[in-house]
Amino acid sequence: MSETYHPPLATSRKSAGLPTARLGTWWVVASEVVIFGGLVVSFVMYRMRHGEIWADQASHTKLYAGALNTFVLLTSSYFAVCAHKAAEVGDGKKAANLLVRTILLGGVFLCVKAYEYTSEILAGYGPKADLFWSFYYTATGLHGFHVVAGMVIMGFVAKDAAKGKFLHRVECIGIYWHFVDIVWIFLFPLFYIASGL
Amino acid sequence: MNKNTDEHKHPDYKKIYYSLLILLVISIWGPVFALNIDNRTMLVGTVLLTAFGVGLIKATMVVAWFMHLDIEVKVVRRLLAVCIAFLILLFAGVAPEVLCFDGENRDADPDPIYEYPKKDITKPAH
Repeated sequence: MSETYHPPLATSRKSAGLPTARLGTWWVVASEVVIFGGLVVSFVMYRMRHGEIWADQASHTKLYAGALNTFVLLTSSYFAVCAHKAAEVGDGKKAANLLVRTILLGGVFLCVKAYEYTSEILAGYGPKADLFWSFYYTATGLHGFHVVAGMVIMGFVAKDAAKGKFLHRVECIGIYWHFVDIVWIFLFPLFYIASGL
Repeated sequence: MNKNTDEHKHPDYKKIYYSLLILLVISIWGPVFALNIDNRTMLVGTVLLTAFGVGLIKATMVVAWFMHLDIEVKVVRRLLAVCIAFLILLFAGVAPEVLCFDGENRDADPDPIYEYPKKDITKPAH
């Protein structure tokens, strides 16, 4: 083996001008843009088609719960980016601590969502109640699944970061988490605050 | 320098976070305020601007400063631009069909989920 050989580590191979792990994360985000974007675009088309009927349905979603969840996700994003800043200076323990706070806020988000689902289903607005509600449960359910996935991965990253290992992963999971936040930023007005239209 | 990361200059995240919270309040207050507007065009305009316009600003701030796309390499920005272009193509290609209610080869009721008012063909069109 020659001395110039470099192992294909996620932190060292930079053929695209950025670390491979981050490039991979961006590829994931790009594929998610198409998944969620397709869903949102379809929703917008049907929302325009079924104007008043869907406006009536949208008025039954809980604005205060949606607003609280937006606040929770924005705050979790703030902790995630602070974790990245801490990881960059090599402070793994602080990064892990901030990631744990992000995970906890992800848990709060899911609890609020569970409360919403329960009250809506009990009020007769289940996934089969109307096409609007089918879209609502598909989009928010898929988003909730991404929140759970992010929390699990973040748990592993935080565990390693606390030992000062694989700190580059803090930024990668942060990018993913911010994307999840952005998806909610678009879902919030679509399902909760555009009922007046 | 930490060998595991690409170091770069960080903006004031606390300031960005507070700005996002202010925008969140505007995006909630705007549409609620709009309910008092009698003019339909003004109402729709206010809701679109405060809910979706402010939402777009919030998303841009998160992408630019939290995800650091402002200092990311060009290939990533192009990658995302291609994805968004495909979404626009999806809308442009499908919307004319979804939003069309009548045409030569259409059924009278193209969407059986809802009952649309039937056209009375005996009455002359105004």
